Amino acid sequence: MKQYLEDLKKALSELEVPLKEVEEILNDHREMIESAIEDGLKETELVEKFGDPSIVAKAISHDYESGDDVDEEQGYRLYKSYEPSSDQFDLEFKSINDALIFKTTKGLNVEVYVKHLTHEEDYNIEYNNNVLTIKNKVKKLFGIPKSRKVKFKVMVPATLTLNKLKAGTVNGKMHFKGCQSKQLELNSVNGHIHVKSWIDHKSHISTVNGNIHLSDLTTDEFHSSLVSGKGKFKNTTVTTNAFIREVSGNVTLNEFTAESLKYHSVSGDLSGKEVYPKDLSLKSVSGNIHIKNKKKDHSINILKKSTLSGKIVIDA
Amino acid sequence: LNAQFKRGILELCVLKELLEKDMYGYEVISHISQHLDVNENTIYPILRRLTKDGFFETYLKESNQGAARKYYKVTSQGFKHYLYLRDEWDAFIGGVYQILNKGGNNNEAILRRFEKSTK
Repeated sequence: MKQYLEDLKKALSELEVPLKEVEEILNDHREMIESAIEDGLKETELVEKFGDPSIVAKAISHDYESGDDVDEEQGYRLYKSYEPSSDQFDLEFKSINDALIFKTTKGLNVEVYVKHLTHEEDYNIEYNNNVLTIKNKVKKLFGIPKSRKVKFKVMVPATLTLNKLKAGTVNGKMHFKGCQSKQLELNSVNGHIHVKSWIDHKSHISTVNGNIHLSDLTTDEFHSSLVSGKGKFKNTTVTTNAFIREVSGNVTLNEFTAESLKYHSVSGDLSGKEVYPKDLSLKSVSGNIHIKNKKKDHSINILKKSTLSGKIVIDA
Repeated sequence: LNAQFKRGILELCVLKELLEKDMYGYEVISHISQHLDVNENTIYPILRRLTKDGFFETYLKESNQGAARKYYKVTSQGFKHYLYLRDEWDAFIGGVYQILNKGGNNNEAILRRFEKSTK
């Protein structure tokens, strides 16, 4: 067993799995092998039963790699650069596991960068009539696409007018940073959605299990729906109506201004600091709502405040 | 079968086993290998990834032999993932059966139709 674990350790280190992870993987294997030996496995059958350490390491590290972290912007390669045909731009992104970073650039071309794109034929990537389309063509086989998780980074010239940006994913993460658009429509099942420093007109952002993090968003219309994901909205300004719907995850608002704010929840809690809508409407079944404001010169008109068993406290 | 596809099925099986009760790594492996021909090294990466994705939580518990074992427990998010995979599986396998059972699934009847068409 000692030799097996040593070989596994060496193989994992060679694949650049972080040391902390290696320790954990080795402990898990020590435990599993001990259990197997108690169960009657002979030391000589180890490799046969548990597999060659180098293959085991590969299977684990492959997983480790695809545990995606889009924040890390290293290692992308330029896939294609398109010259814009007008000053308008639309995005349509549809994927299962792929991650997306969307940003502006000082350059003049629309650029698509990729990481881990090993099966180009599985994707439909094109730029036509001002619309950039990135679609995973692979039919969903049981929720598991044939391809690996690809990471896309789209850089759009800041001079373009962004019309409709529509992006949907099942498991991928999406980051949208520093742009101005007319319509932002983001959907995800398990993937997290981050929007930072953004000016929009009509924003629809929804997830099932994924979290939604917004910071420095200014928009005219805001609609967000979550099921069990957490919502963190920081420094958000909505010039007309904001509607947030939550089922069981919690929502945190920090500096949230709107003409009207409607919040509906089943069992999730809402905790707000510096929340200043002119009109406020709150509805929950068992979730608690707590809003705490420091500035006293803003009056909030409470249109509705209903809960079945939750607690609503407005400290303003 | 395609490796990814097989992996998806195994994910579903691992989730289901752990929904019934919390288990330690080797226990999951031996439960699954009673029914399916799988290697130890295919189950561990699944346990690890699903834990990372927040579908399992782990805790340590002493065993009879003394050494503590890592137990895996399905989270509520894991349960949702199970429902999602289960739906996908039912839809897929339902489609497969619809194809296979077209015109009846009796092998003799299929043979008769086949012979008639090749005459």
